[in-house]
Amino acid sequence: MSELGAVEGSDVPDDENESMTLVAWSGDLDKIWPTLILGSTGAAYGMNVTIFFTFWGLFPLVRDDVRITGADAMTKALAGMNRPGMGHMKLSKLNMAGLGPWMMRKLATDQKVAQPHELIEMCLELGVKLWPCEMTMDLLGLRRDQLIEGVGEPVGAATALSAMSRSKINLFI
Amino acid sequence: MELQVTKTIDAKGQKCPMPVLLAARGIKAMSPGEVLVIEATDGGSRSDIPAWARDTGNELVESSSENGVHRYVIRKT
Repeated sequence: MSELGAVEGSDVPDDENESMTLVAWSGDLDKIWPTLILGSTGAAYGMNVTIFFTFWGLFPLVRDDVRITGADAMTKALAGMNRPGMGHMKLSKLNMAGLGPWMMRKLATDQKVAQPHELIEMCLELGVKLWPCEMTMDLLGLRRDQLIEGVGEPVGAATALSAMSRSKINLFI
Repeated sequence: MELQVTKTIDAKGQKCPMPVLLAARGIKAMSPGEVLVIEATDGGSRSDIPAWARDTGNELVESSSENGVHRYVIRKT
């Protein structure tokens, strides 16, 4: 039994919470995953965290039960070739037609590593703001009602930049 | 040390970052002065929980390890 003893309280003032903005551009499992780890941990640290989802990063925000998104033939085909949903993300390497992600998730389950869907729930509980990019939602044919619960109102680049300009940590993943 | 423990969180078996996330979620619902105990087996928690407690302005009253279980006592400030 080892004692570390008491630790001094922090000198960081409560009213100056630091901010972090993460731009989730990639929809790959191996990029969304660390994005959600950093986002939830930042919020656990008392930071104001915003994750701005754009381009491929929007697809994991689509509910897993929504099979096809899209407003016309092209955006529907896009969803057909790039299945939306947190449960259908691919690996950026060694995807092996879905075998790679399956193995990654199996390893995580076996080792009790939190999965993306658990982390996104934790993000929401800890107050992380999840902002979908309005322009890319329109471009890719994604509707608000197809996205998971808890996602904020779609916003534009200026809103994202405004958050980034006030953030000490900004990452584009 | 006799402390009135308000809440105990079992994060045993869970890997980084879950112990910190569970601690943060737990302490969010508590009042200043109340005491949280968190138990974890993740080795990363030995640096993460003290750092998190310090940086969020909470007090790590005590930490100990026994049979691979790390136990942290944190008072909300």
